[in-house]
Amino acid sequence: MKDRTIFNIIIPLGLAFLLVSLLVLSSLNLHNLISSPLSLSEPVLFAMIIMLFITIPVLLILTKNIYLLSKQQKTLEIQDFYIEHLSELVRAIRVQRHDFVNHMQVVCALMKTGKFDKAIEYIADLSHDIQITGAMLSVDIPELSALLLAKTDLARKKEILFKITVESNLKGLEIKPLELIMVVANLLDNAFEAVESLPVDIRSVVLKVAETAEYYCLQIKNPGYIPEEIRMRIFEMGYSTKEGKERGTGLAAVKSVVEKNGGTITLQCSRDQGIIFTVSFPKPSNSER
Amino acid sequence: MVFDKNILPLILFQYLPETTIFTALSMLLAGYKIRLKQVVIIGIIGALFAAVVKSQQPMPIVSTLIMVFILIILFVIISKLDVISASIAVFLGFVVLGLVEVANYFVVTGVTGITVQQAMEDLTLRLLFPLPEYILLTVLILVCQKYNFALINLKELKELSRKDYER
Repeated sequence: MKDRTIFNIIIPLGLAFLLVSLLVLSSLNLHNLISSPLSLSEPVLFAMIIMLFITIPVLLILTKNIYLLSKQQKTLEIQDFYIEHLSELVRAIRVQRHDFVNHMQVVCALMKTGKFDKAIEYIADLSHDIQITGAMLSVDIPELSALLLAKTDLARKKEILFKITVESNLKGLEIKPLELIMVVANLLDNAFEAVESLPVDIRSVVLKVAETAEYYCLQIKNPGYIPEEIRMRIFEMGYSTKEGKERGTGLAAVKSVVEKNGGTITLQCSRDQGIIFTVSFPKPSNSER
Repeated sequence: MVFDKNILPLILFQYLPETTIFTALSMLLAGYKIRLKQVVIIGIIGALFAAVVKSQQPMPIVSTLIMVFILIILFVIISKLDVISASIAVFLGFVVLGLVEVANYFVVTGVTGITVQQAMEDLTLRLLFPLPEYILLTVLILVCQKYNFALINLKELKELSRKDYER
C-alpha cells in the first residue's frame, strides 16, 4: 500500500484523531480535572465539545468515503486490465476473420484453376490451425482461452512457433481467472522475450495444459539456458537480469499468486531440454468441492 | 515508580477490559478478523503498560498518546500488521473509543450526579464509572462482527493494491 490511497485516508483520520484528543482535553477541562492547556469558560467549552461531536463523525464518514472511492478506483484499474485483454482478443479474432476470407479466396482460386490437390493440401493446413484454436477453446476457463488466442496472435507476429497442447480442460481448478491469467501471461511473455533474439528456426514456445490424479499442471517450455546463480534468485522480488526500474516483479508476483492458491512453481533447466516452468495446483478433495 | 495502591483491581477491571475492547474494536473497524488469542495477549500486555504509564501521572492526553504508540507497536509485533495498517487501526479505534468515552462522561455524570473527581477518588465508583462505555463498545464490537462492518477494510484495500494483474 504505497500509493496515495493511504495518504488520503490518513489525513482525515489524523485530523479526527487530533480532534478527539482535543475533545477529551476539553471535557476533562470542563470537569475541572485539569486547568491547562485549556482554560476556557464553560459555554465556550460546551460549544466546542458539541462542535467536535459533530465534526469527528463527519471526518469518519469522509474517511470511509475516501476509502470507498479508492476501492472503486482500484476496481476500475482491474477492469481496465480485463478490457485490455478483451481488446487483444477482439483484435485477434478480427485478424483471424480477415485471414479466413483470404484463405477462402485462395482455395476458390485454386479450385477454379483446377489445382484440386493444392486446394486439398491448403485446406488440410488450414484445418490444423483451426484444430489448435479448438484446443485452446476447449479449456473450461474462457479468460484463459482468450489469453491463449491473443498470445498466439502475438507469437505469429514475432515469428515464434507457439505450440499449445491441451490435455485437460482444467474443470474444477479453483483459482480466480484474473490470477490464472496473471500467472500464464507473465510466464508466456517471459518465454516469448527469451526466444525473440534466437534464430527463427529455433524460436519456439510450448505450453502444455495437463492434469494428474492430484494436480492441475501448466508447463511452459522454451529453448535457452539459465545459469544456476540466476536460477537460485529468479523468484526474488526485484531481481532481474534485465535493466530497468520496473523489472524483477513478474516472477516474484507469479510465485506469490501460485503459492497463495496452494500451488507450486518449479523451474527446470538444462542445455538439452531448455527452460521449463511448471505450475501445479492441487485438485480440491471431494469434501472441499 | 510509585503504583496506585489499588493497582491490581485497576489492571483487572479497568485497564485490561479497556485495552482488550480497544484492540478488538480497532481490528474490526480496520477490516481485520478478531483472533481472540491475539486480542487477549495485546490486552494483557497493553494493560500492564497502561498501569506503568499511568503510575507516572502524566497529563491525561499524554498518557493516551503514549498508549496509542505502545498499541501500534503491539499490533505490529503480535498481529503482524505493517506499521501503516497498525497505525490506521489504532487511530480508528482511538477516535471511536474517544467519542464514546466522552459521551459516557457526560451521560454518567448527568444521570447519576457523580462528578468525575468523585469517581476518581473512590475505587468502586472508578471501576463502575466506565461500565456503560464498555457495555456499549462490546455491543458495537458484536454488531460489527456479525454484519462484517468495517470503516476502512485495509485487508481488502491491500488485496486490490497488490497489482498482481500488472506485469
